[in-house]
Amino acid sequence: MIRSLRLAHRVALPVLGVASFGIFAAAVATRPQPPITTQYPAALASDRPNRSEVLALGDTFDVPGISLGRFEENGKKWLLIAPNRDPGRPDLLAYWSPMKPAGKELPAGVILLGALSGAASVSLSLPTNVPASGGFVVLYSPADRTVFATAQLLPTGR
Amino acid sequence: MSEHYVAVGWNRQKKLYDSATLAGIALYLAAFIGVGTFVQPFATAETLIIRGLGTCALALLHVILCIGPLCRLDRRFLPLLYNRRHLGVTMFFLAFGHGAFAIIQFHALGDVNPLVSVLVGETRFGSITNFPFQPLGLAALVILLLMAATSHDFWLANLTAPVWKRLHMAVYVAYALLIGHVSLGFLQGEATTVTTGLLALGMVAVFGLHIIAGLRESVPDRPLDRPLNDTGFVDVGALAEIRESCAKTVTLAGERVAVFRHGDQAFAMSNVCQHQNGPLGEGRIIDGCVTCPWHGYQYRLEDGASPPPFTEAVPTFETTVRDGRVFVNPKPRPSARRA
Repeated sequence: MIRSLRLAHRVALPVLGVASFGIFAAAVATRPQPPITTQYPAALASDRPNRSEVLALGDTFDVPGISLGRFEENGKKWLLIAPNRDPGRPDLLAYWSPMKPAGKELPAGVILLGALSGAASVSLSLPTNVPASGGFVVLYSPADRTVFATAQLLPTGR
Repeated sequence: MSEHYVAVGWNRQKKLYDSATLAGIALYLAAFIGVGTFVQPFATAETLIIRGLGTCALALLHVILCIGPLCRLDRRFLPLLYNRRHLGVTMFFLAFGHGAFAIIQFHALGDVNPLVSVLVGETRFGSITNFPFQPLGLAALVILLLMAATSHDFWLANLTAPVWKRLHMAVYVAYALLIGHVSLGFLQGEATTVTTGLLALGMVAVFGLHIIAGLRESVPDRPLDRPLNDTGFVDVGALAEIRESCAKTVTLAGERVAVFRHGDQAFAMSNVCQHQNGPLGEGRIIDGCVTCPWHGYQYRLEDGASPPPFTEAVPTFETTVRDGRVFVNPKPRPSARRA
Protein backbone atom coordinates (compact mmCIF):
# COMPACT_ATOMS: atom_id res chain seq x y z
CA MET A 1 0.00 0.00 0.00
CA ILE A 2 1.30 3.44 -0.80
CA ARG A 3 2.02 5.79 2.07
CA SER A 4 -0.86 8.19 1.43
CA LEU A 5 -3.35 5.33 1.58
CA ARG A 6 -1.74 4.01 4.75
CA LEU A 7 -2.12 7.41 6.36
CA ALA A 8 -5.78 7.59 5.27
CA HIS A 9 -6.31 4.07 6.60
CA ARG A 10 -4.72 5.03 9.90
CA VAL A 11 -7.20 7.89 10.33
CA ALA A 12 -10.28 6.19 8.87
CA LEU A 13 -10.20 3.00 10.94
CA PRO A 14 -10.33 4.62 14.39
CA VAL A 15 -13.11 6.95 13.18
CA LEU A 16 -15.16 4.06 11.78
CA GLY A 17 -14.40 2.04 14.91
CA VAL A 18 -15.71 4.74 17.23
CA ALA A 19 -18.82 5.18 15.06
CA SER A 20 -19.45 1.44 14.89
CA PHE A 21 -19.02 0.91 18.63
CA GLY A 22 -21.25 3.93 19.27
CA ILE A 23 -24.04 2.48 17.14
CA PHE A 24 -23.57 -0.95 18.69
CA ALA A 25 -23.63 0.40 22.26
CA ALA A 26 -26.70 2.55 21.61
CA ALA A 27 -28.48 -0.38 19.98
CA VAL A 28 -27.73 -2.70 22.89
CA ALA A 29 -28.62 -0.09 25.50
CA THR A 30 -32.00 0.74 24.00
CA ARG A 31 -33.15 -2.60 22.71
CA PRO A 32 -36.47 -3.71 24.13
CA GLN A 33 -36.30 -6.46 26.73
CA PRO A 34 -38.60 -9.44 26.31
CA PRO A 35 -41.68 -8.76 28.49
CA ILE A 36 -42.14 -11.13 31.41
CA THR A 37 -45.71 -11.57 32.58
CA THR A 38 -46.10 -11.11 36.30
CA GLN A 39 -49.74 -10.10 36.45
CA TYR A 40 -52.78 -9.99 34.30
CA PRO A 41 -53.23 -7.09 31.91
CA ALA A 42 -55.71 -4.45 32.94
CA ALA A 43 -57.76 -5.25 29.86
CA LEU A 44 -58.54 -8.61 31.37
CA ALA A 45 -59.41 -7.24 34.78
CA SER A 46 -63.04 -8.12 34.27
CA ASP A 47 -62.04 -11.74 34.13
CA ARG A 48 -60.47 -11.28 37.57
CA PRO A 49 -58.50 -14.48 37.35
CA ASN A 50 -56.68 -14.36 40.66
CA ARG A 51 -53.49 -16.29 40.10
CA SER A 52 -53.87 -18.31 43.26
CA GLU A 53 -57.20 -19.56 42.06
CA VAL A 54 -55.82 -20.86 38.82
CA LEU A 55 -55.38 -24.57 38.87
CA ALA A 56 -52.05 -25.77 37.61
CA LEU A 57 -53.17 -29.17 36.53
CA GLY A 58 -50.06 -30.33 34.80
CA ASP A 59 -51.40 -29.35 31.41
CA THR A 60 -48.35 -28.33 29.44
CA PHE A 61 -47.71 -27.28 25.91
CA ASP A 62 -45.23 -29.22 23.87
CA VAL A 63 -43.09 -26.10 23.43
CA PRO A 64 -41.34 -24.58 26.46
CA GLY A 65 -42.22 -21.23 27.91
CA ILE A 66 -46.03 -21.24 27.78
CA SER A 67 -48.00 -22.11 30.91
CA LEU A 68 -51.54 -23.37 30.82
CA GLY A 69 -54.02 -23.29 33.68
CA ARG A 70 -57.73 -23.72 34.20
CA PHE A 71 -60.22 -22.14 36.57
CA GLU A 72 -63.95 -21.65 36.97
CA GLU A 73 -65.68 -18.39 37.67
CA ASN A 74 -69.29 -17.27 37.49
CA GLY A 75 -70.22 -20.75 36.36
CA LYS A 76 -67.94 -20.56 33.36
CA LYS A 77 -64.86 -22.60 32.65
CA TRP A 78 -61.75 -20.67 31.69
CA LEU A 79 -58.36 -21.41 30.28
CA LEU A 80 -55.37 -19.28 31.24
CA ILE A 81 -52.57 -19.22 28.70
CA ALA A 82 -49.50 -17.43 30.05
CA PRO A 83 -46.36 -17.20 27.89
CA ASN A 84 -43.28 -16.29 29.90
CA ARG A 85 -41.81 -14.69 26.77
CA ASP A 86 -43.01 -13.61 23.36
CA PRO A 87 -43.54 -16.80 21.36
CA GLY A 88 -42.36 -14.98 18.24
CA ARG A 89 -45.63 -15.53 16.40
CA PRO A 90 -47.85 -12.44 16.30
CA ASP A 91 -50.90 -14.23 14.97
CA LEU A 92 -51.41 -17.22 17.24
CA LEU A 93 -54.99 -18.40 17.67
CA ALA A 94 -56.06 -20.81 20.42
CA TYR A 95 -58.42 -23.65 19.55
CA TRP A 96 -60.01 -26.45 21.53
CA SER A 97 -59.64 -29.68 19.60
CA PRO A 98 -61.21 -33.08 20.30
CA MET A 99 -58.11 -34.83 19.03
CA LYS A 100 -54.38 -34.25 18.84
CA PRO A 101 -53.24 -32.65 15.56
CA ALA A 102 -51.42 -35.19 13.44
CA GLY A 103 -49.28 -32.70 11.58
CA LYS A 104 -49.33 -29.01 10.78
CA GLU A 105 -53.05 -28.88 9.98
CA LEU A 106 -55.87 -28.28 12.42
CA PRO A 107 -57.98 -31.39 13.03
CA ALA A 108 -61.68 -31.44 12.18
CA GLY A 109 -64.09 -30.26 14.84
CA VAL A 110 -61.88 -27.58 16.41
CA ILE A 111 -63.49 -24.66 18.23
CA LEU A 112 -61.90 -21.21 18.19
CA LEU A 113 -61.29 -19.90 21.71
CA GLY A 114 -59.49 -16.62 21.01
CA ALA A 115 -56.18 -14.99 20.12
CA LEU A 116 -52.89 -14.69 21.96
CA SER A 117 -51.15 -11.35 22.19
CA GLY A 118 -47.38 -11.54 22.35
CA ALA A 119 -46.16 -12.30 25.84
CA ALA A 120 -49.41 -11.21 27.53
CA SER A 121 -51.39 -13.77 29.50
CA VAL A 122 -54.90 -14.32 28.24
CA SER A 123 -57.95 -15.89 29.78
CA LEU A 124 -60.22 -17.63 27.31
CA SER A 125 -63.61 -19.03 28.21
CA LEU A 126 -64.39 -22.54 27.14
CA PRO A 127 -67.69 -22.99 25.33
CA THR A 128 -70.35 -24.88 27.25
CA ASN A 129 -70.33 -27.78 24.83
CA VAL A 130 -66.66 -28.48 25.60
CA PRO A 131 -66.08 -31.10 28.31
CA ALA A 132 -64.37 -29.99 31.50
CA SER A 133 -61.40 -32.14 30.77
CA GLY A 134 -60.22 -34.05 27.80
CA GLY A 135 -59.37 -32.77 24.40
CA PHE A 136 -56.51 -30.51 23.46
CA VAL A 137 -55.66 -26.85 23.31
CA VAL A 138 -53.99 -26.04 20.02
CA LEU A 139 -52.09 -22.84 19.22
CA TYR A 140 -52.20 -22.23 15.47
CA SER A 141 -50.49 -19.70 13.22
CA PRO A 142 -52.74 -18.85 10.23
CA ALA A 143 -49.92 -16.98 8.48
CA ASP A 144 -47.62 -19.99 8.52
CA ARG A 145 -50.54 -22.41 8.29
CA THR A 146 -49.01 -24.53 10.99
CA VAL A 147 -49.77 -25.80 14.45
CA PHE A 148 -47.42 -23.98 16.81
CA ALA A 149 -48.08 -25.88 20.06
CA THR A 150 -50.43 -28.41 21.55
CA ALA A 151 -51.42 -29.18 25.14
CA GLN A 152 -53.59 -32.01 26.34
CA LEU A 153 -56.30 -31.07 28.84
CA LEU A 154 -55.79 -33.71 31.49
CA PRO A 155 -58.60 -34.83 33.77
CA THR A 156 -59.01 -32.72 36.89
CA GLY A 157 -56.95 -33.90 39.85
CA ARG A 158 -53.93 -35.12 38.00
CA MET B 1 2.41 -13.81 -11.59
CA SER B 2 0.95 -14.05 -15.08
CA GLU B 3 1.91 -12.45 -18.37
CA HIS B 4 -1.64 -12.39 -19.75
CA TYR B 5 -5.17 -12.27 -18.40
CA VAL B 6 -6.90 -15.49 -17.49
CA ALA B 7 -10.15 -15.87 -15.56
CA VAL B 8 -8.31 -17.49 -12.65
CA GLY B 9 -4.67 -18.48 -12.71
CA TRP B 10 -5.30 -21.76 -10.92
CA ASN B 11 -2.48 -23.43 -9.08
CA ARG B 12 -2.32 -25.97 -6.26
CA GLN B 13 -2.38 -23.36 -3.49
CA LYS B 14 -5.45 -21.64 -4.91
CA LYS B 15 -7.27 -24.93 -5.33
CA LEU B 16 -6.48 -25.93 -1.75
CA TYR B 17 -7.44 -22.51 -0.47
CA ASP B 18 -10.77 -22.44 -2.29
CA SER B 19 -11.58 -26.06 -1.45
CA ALA B 20 -11.01 -25.39 2.25
CA THR B 21 -13.11 -22.24 2.05
CA LEU B 22 -16.04 -23.93 0.32
CA ALA B 23 -15.89 -26.93 2.64
CA GLY B 24 -15.89 -24.64 5.68
CA ILE B 25 -18.87 -22.69 4.35
CA ALA B 26 -20.81 -25.88 3.53
CA LEU B 27 -20.12 -27.26 7.01
CA TYR B 28 -21.18 -24.02 8.67
CA LEU B 29 -24.43 -23.78 6.71
CA ALA B 30 -25.25 -27.44 7.30
CA ALA B 31 -24.58 -27.08 11.02
CA PHE B 32 -26.52 -23.82 11.28
CA ILE B 33 -29.58 -25.12 9.46
CA GLY B 34 -29.38 -28.56 11.06
CA VAL B 35 -29.07 -27.27 14.62
CA GLY B 36 -31.56 -24.49 13.90
CA THR B 37 -34.16 -27.04 12.85
CA PHE B 38 -34.02 -28.56 16.32
CA VAL B 39 -33.45 -25.44 18.41
CA GLN B 40 -36.09 -23.41 16.55
CA PRO B 41 -38.49 -26.05 15.25
CA PHE B 42 -40.98 -23.44 14.08
CA ALA B 43 -38.52 -21.38 12.10
CA THR B 44 -39.26 -21.78 8.41
CA ALA B 45 -36.64 -23.08 5.98
CA GLU B 46 -36.47 -19.61 4.41
CA THR B 47 -35.75 -18.04 7.79
CA LEU B 48 -32.96 -20.51 8.53
CA ILE B 49 -31.43 -19.95 5.09
CA ILE B 50 -31.58 -16.16 5.47
CA ARG B 51 -29.96 -16.32 8.90
CA GLY B 52 -27.42 -18.95 7.90
CA LEU B 53 -26.23 -17.02 4.85
CA GLY B 54 -26.18 -13.72 6.74
CA THR B 55 -24.19 -14.99 9.71
CA CYS B 56 -21.81 -16.90 7.43
CA ALA B 57 -21.14 -13.80 5.31
CA LEU B 58 -20.58 -11.66 8.41
CA ALA B 59 -18.22 -14.19 9.98
CA LEU B 60 -16.29 -14.49 6.72
CA LEU B 61 -16.04 -10.70 6.44
CA HIS B 62 -14.48 -10.61 9.91
CA VAL B 63 -11.94 -13.23 8.84
CA ILE B 64 -11.14 -11.29 5.65
CA LEU B 65 -10.69 -8.01 7.50
CA CYS B 66 -8.42 -9.59 10.11
CA ILE B 67 -6.09 -11.21 7.57
CA GLY B 68 -4.43 -7.92 6.51
CA PRO B 69 -3.36 -6.67 9.94
CA LEU B 70 -2.49 -10.20 11.11
CA CYS B 71 -0.05 -10.46 8.20
CA ARG B 72 1.49 -7.13 9.21
CA LEU B 73 1.94 -8.42 12.76
CA ASP B 74 3.03 -12.00 11.99
CA ARG B 75 4.35 -13.35 8.70
CA ARG B 76 2.92 -16.79 9.41
CA PHE B 77 -0.49 -15.48 8.33
CA LEU B 78 0.78 -14.60 4.83
CA PRO B 79 -0.62 -17.79 3.22
CA LEU B 80 -4.10 -16.59 4.16
CA LEU B 81 -3.53 -13.36 2.26
CA TYR B 82 -2.48 -15.12 -0.93
CA ASN B 83 -6.00 -15.82 -2.17
CA ARG B 84 -7.96 -13.32 -0.08
CA ARG B 85 -9.80 -11.96 -3.12
CA HIS B 86 -11.52 -15.31 -3.61
CA LEU B 87 -12.66 -15.12 0.00
CA GLY B 88 -14.05 -11.67 -0.69
CA VAL B 89 -15.98 -12.73 -3.78
CA THR B 90 -17.32 -15.78 -1.93
CA MET B 91 -18.41 -13.57 0.93
CA PHE B 92 -20.23 -11.29 -1.51
CA PHE B 93 -22.21 -14.22 -2.93
CA LEU B 94 -23.19 -15.29 0.59
CA ALA B 95 -24.29 -11.75 1.41
CA PHE B 96 -26.14 -11.53 -1.89
CA GLY B 97 -27.98 -14.77 -1.11
CA HIS B 98 -28.93 -13.41 2.30
CA GLY B 99 -30.20 -10.17 0.78
CA ALA B 100 -32.04 -11.85 -2.08
CA PHE B 101 -33.84 -14.34 0.17
CA ALA B 102 -34.71 -11.61 2.66
CA ILE B 103 -36.09 -9.31 -0.03
CA ILE B 104 -38.16 -12.12 -1.53
CA GLN B 105 -39.40 -13.19 1.91
CA PHE B 106 -40.27 -9.77 3.29
CA HIS B 107 -40.78 -7.43 0.32
CA ALA B 108 -41.72 -9.35 -2.82
CA LEU B 109 -45.39 -10.01 -2.14
CA GLY B 110 -46.61 -6.42 -1.91
CA ASP B 111 -47.63 -3.99 -4.62
CA VAL B 112 -44.39 -1.97 -4.36
CA ASN B 113 -41.14 -2.77 -6.14
CA PRO B 114 -39.22 -4.93 -3.64
CA LEU B 115 -36.11 -2.72 -3.74
CA VAL B 116 -38.24 0.40 -3.25
CA SER B 117 -39.96 -1.41 -0.41
CA VAL B 118 -36.60 -2.00 1.28
CA LEU B 119 -35.86 1.72 1.08
CA VAL B 120 -39.24 3.11 2.13
CA GLY B 121 -40.75 0.29 4.17
CA GLU B 122 -39.52 1.74 7.44
CA THR B 123 -38.90 5.45 7.93
CA ARG B 124 -38.56 5.91 11.67
CA PHE B 125 -35.09 7.42 11.45
CA GLY B 126 -35.47 9.02 14.88
CA SER B 127 -35.81 5.69 16.62
CA ILE B 128 -32.98 3.31 17.44
CA THR B 129 -35.19 0.28 17.98
CA ASN B 130 -37.20 0.87 14.80
CA PHE B 131 -34.46 2.43 12.69
CA PRO B 132 -34.65 1.33 9.01
CA PHE B 133 -31.77 -1.13 9.19
CA GLN B 134 -32.39 -2.86 5.88
CA PRO B 135 -31.18 0.04 3.68
CA LEU B 136 -27.88 -0.12 5.60
CA GLY B 137 -27.48 -3.73 4.53
CA LEU B 138 -28.44 -2.87 0.96
CA ALA B 139 -25.84 -0.07 0.84
CA ALA B 140 -23.18 -2.46 2.14
CA LEU B 141 -24.20 -5.01 -0.48
CA VAL B 142 -23.78 -2.43 -3.26
CA ILE B 143 -20.23 -1.70 -2.04
CA LEU B 144 -19.44 -5.41 -1.84
CA LEU B 145 -20.82 -5.89 -5.37
CA LEU B 146 -18.58 -3.12 -6.68
CA MET B 147 -15.58 -4.71 -5.03
CA ALA B 148 -16.38 -8.24 -6.19
CA ALA B 149 -16.97 -7.02 -9.75
CA THR B 150 -13.58 -5.27 -9.85
CA SER B 151 -11.60 -7.89 -7.97
CA HIS B 152 -9.92 -9.42 -11.03
CA ASP B 153 -6.37 -8.52 -12.03
CA PHE B 154 -7.83 -7.01 -15.21
CA TRP B 155 -9.30 -4.17 -13.15
CA LEU B 156 -6.26 -4.02 -10.92
CA ALA B 157 -4.00 -3.46 -13.92
CA ASN B 158 -6.30 -1.01 -15.70
CA LEU B 159 -7.38 1.04 -12.72
CA THR B 160 -3.79 0.94 -11.36
CA ALA B 161 -3.07 -0.43 -7.92
CA PRO B 162 -3.47 2.85 -5.96
CA VAL B 163 -6.93 3.54 -7.46
CA TRP B 164 -7.92 -0.10 -7.04
CA LYS B 165 -6.73 -0.06 -3.42
CA ARG B 166 -8.62 3.17 -2.77
CA LEU B 167 -11.78 1.62 -4.18
CA HIS B 168 -11.36 -1.54 -2.14
CA MET B 169 -10.79 0.38 1.08
CA ALA B 170 -14.55 1.01 0.89
CA VAL B 171 -14.84 -2.40 2.53
CA TYR B 172 -14.37 -0.64 5.87
CA VAL B 173 -17.38 1.56 5.14
CA ALA B 174 -19.32 -1.57 4.17
CA TYR B 175 -18.28 -3.19 7.45
CA ALA B 176 -19.45 -0.20 9.50
CA LEU B 177 -22.77 -0.23 7.58
CA LEU B 178 -23.16 -3.93 8.37
CA ILE B 179 -22.49 -3.31 12.07
CA GLY B 180 -25.36 -0.81 11.91
CA HIS B 181 -27.50 -3.27 9.93
CA VAL B 182 -27.03 -6.02 12.53
CA SER B 183 -27.12 -3.80 15.63
CA LEU B 184 -30.27 -1.97 14.59
CA GLY B 185 -31.92 -5.04 13.12
CA PHE B 186 -31.15 -8.44 14.57
CA LEU B 187 -29.96 -7.16 17.95
CA GLN B 188 -33.29 -5.40 18.48
CA GLY B 189 -35.19 -8.66 18.18
CA GLU B 190 -34.10 -12.15 18.96
CA ALA B 191 -30.41 -11.68 19.75
CA THR B 192 -29.06 -13.47 22.80
CA THR B 193 -26.17 -12.54 25.05
CA VAL B 194 -24.00 -14.97 23.09
CA THR B 195 -24.75 -13.49 19.66
CA THR B 196 -24.38 -9.95 20.98
CA GLY B 197 -21.08 -10.89 22.60
CA LEU B 198 -19.80 -12.53 19.42
CA LEU B 199 -20.50 -9.38 17.42
CA ALA B 200 -18.71 -7.24 20.02
CA LEU B 201 -15.77 -9.63 19.97
CA GLY B 202 -15.61 -9.47 16.17
CA MET B 203 -15.60 -5.67 16.23
CA VAL B 204 -12.84 -5.59 18.84
CA ALA B 205 -10.79 -8.01 16.73
CA VAL B 206 -11.23 -6.08 13.47
CA PHE B 207 -10.71 -2.57 14.75
CA GLY B 208 -8.18 -3.57 17.41
CA LEU B 209 -5.93 -5.45 14.97
CA HIS B 210 -6.12 -2.65 12.40
CA ILE B 211 -5.26 0.02 14.93
CA ILE B 212 -2.39 -2.01 16.42
CA ALA B 213 -0.98 -2.80 12.96
CA GLY B 214 -1.43 0.84 11.94
CA LEU B 215 0.51 2.08 14.95
CA ARG B 216 3.29 -0.37 14.22
CA GLU B 217 3.42 0.74 10.61
CA SER B 218 3.59 4.39 11.57
CA VAL B 219 7.23 4.03 12.71
CA PRO B 220 8.76 3.17 9.30
CA ASP B 221 6.47 5.76 7.70
CA ARG B 222 8.34 8.58 9.40
CA PRO B 223 10.57 10.35 6.86
CA LEU B 224 14.26 9.66 7.36
CA ASP B 225 15.38 12.91 8.90
CA ARG B 226 19.01 12.85 7.82
CA PRO B 227 20.92 15.38 5.74
CA LEU B 228 22.16 14.59 2.28
CA ASN B 229 25.89 14.07 2.02
CA ASP B 230 28.12 15.93 -0.41
CA THR B 231 26.95 13.75 -3.31
CA GLY B 232 23.23 14.17 -2.54
CA PHE B 233 22.85 10.72 -1.00
CA VAL B 234 21.20 9.84 2.32
CA ASP B 235 22.80 7.59 4.93
CA VAL B 236 20.17 4.91 5.61
CA GLY B 237 22.23 2.84 8.07
CA ALA B 238 24.84 0.14 8.30
CA LEU B 239 24.93 -2.66 5.72
CA ALA B 240 25.56 -5.14 8.55
CA GLU B 241 22.16 -4.46 10.09
CA ILE B 242 20.41 -5.77 6.94
CA ARG B 243 20.06 -9.56 6.77
CA GLU B 244 21.40 -11.24 3.64
CA SER B 245 18.84 -11.27 0.79
CA CYS B 246 16.45 -9.21 2.90
CA ALA B 247 15.70 -5.50 3.14
CA LYS B 248 15.46 -2.58 5.45
CA THR B 249 12.59 -0.19 4.72
CA VAL B 250 13.05 3.57 5.00
CA THR B 251 10.90 6.52 3.95
CA LEU B 252 12.56 8.78 1.41
CA ALA B 253 11.00 11.57 -0.64
CA GLY B 254 7.52 10.77 0.66
CA GLU B 255 7.40 7.03 0.00
CA ARG B 256 8.91 3.84 1.37
CA VAL B 257 12.07 2.50 -0.21
CA ALA B 258 13.30 -1.06 0.32
CA VAL B 259 17.08 -1.32 0.68
CA PHE B 260 18.19 -4.89 -0.03
CA ARG B 261 21.47 -6.51 0.86
CA HIS B 262 22.96 -8.92 -1.69
CA GLY B 263 26.41 -10.00 -0.50
CA ASP B 264 28.49 -6.88 0.00
CA GLN B 265 26.24 -4.80 -2.20
CA ALA B 266 23.09 -2.81 -1.48
CA PHE B 267 20.20 -2.23 -3.88
CA ALA B 268 17.28 0.12 -3.34
CA MET B 269 13.87 0.04 -5.02
CA SER B 270 10.37 1.25 -4.29
CA ASN B 271 8.77 -0.74 -1.51
CA VAL B 272 5.50 -0.82 -3.48
CA CYS B 273 4.82 -3.86 -5.65
CA GLN B 274 3.17 -3.01 -8.97
CA HIS B 275 0.62 -5.77 -8.59
CA GLN B 276 -1.31 -4.97 -5.41
CA ASN B 277 1.10 -2.50 -3.81
CA GLY B 278 2.42 -5.23 -1.54
CA PRO B 279 5.48 -4.52 0.68
CA LEU B 280 8.50 -5.58 -1.37
CA GLY B 281 10.75 -4.77 1.58
CA GLU B 282 9.23 -7.71 3.42
CA GLY B 283 10.10 -10.03 0.57
CA ARG B 284 13.38 -11.77 -0.21
CA ILE B 285 15.87 -11.98 -3.04
CA ILE B 286 15.19 -15.22 -4.93
CA ASP B 287 17.10 -16.07 -8.12
CA GLY B 288 18.53 -12.57 -8.19
CA CYS B 289 15.08 -10.97 -8.08
CA VAL B 290 13.23 -9.27 -5.28
CA THR B 291 10.12 -11.38 -4.68
CA CYS B 292 6.93 -9.86 -3.26
CA PRO B 293 5.72 -11.73 -0.17
CA TRP B 294 2.07 -11.38 -1.17
CA HIS B 295 1.80 -13.02 -4.60
CA GLY B 296 5.37 -13.71 -5.72
CA TYR B 297 5.78 -10.88 -8.26
CA GLN B 298 9.50 -10.48 -9.04
CA TYR B 299 11.74 -7.53 -9.91
CA ARG B 300 15.38 -7.56 -10.93
CA LEU B 301 17.73 -5.94 -8.43
CA GLU B 302 19.68 -3.88 -10.94
CA ASP B 303 16.83 -2.14 -12.82
CA GLY B 304 13.54 -3.01 -11.03
CA ALA B 305 12.08 -4.68 -14.13
CA SER B 306 10.31 -8.00 -13.94
CA PRO B 307 12.18 -10.81 -15.74
CA PRO B 308 10.90 -11.51 -19.27
CA PRO B 309 8.24 -12.15 -20.42
CA PHE B 310 6.69 -10.07 -17.63
CA THR B 311 6.45 -6.32 -18.06
CA GLU B 312 6.03 -4.87 -14.58
CA ALA B 313 8.68 -2.54 -13.19
CA VAL B 314 9.28 -0.54 -10.03
CA PRO B 315 11.49 2.53 -9.55
CA THR B 316 15.03 1.90 -8.33
CA PHE B 317 17.45 4.16 -6.52
CA GLU B 318 21.19 4.57 -6.86
CA THR B 319 23.13 3.26 -3.85
CA THR B 320 26.71 3.20 -2.62
CA VAL B 321 28.34 1.45 0.32
CA ARG B 322 31.07 3.41 2.04
CA ASP B 323 32.77 2.40 5.30
CA GLY B 324 30.11 -0.22 5.88
CA ARG B 325 27.26 2.27 5.60
CA VAL B 326 24.61 2.39 2.88
CA PHE B 327 23.88 5.64 1.06
CA VAL B 328 20.81 6.03 -1.18
CA ASN B 329 20.03 8.75 -3.71
CA PRO B 330 16.45 9.82 -2.86
CA LYS B 331 15.79 10.63 -6.53
CA PRO B 332 14.67 7.49 -8.40
CA ARG B 333 16.41 6.40 -11.56
CA PRO B 334 14.53 6.81 -14.84
CA SER B 335 11.84 4.15 -15.23
CA ALA B 336 12.96 0.69 -16.34
CA ARG B 337 9.57 -0.11 -17.88
CA ARG B 338 9.95 -1.73 -21.27
CA ALA B 339 7.88 -0.75 -24.26
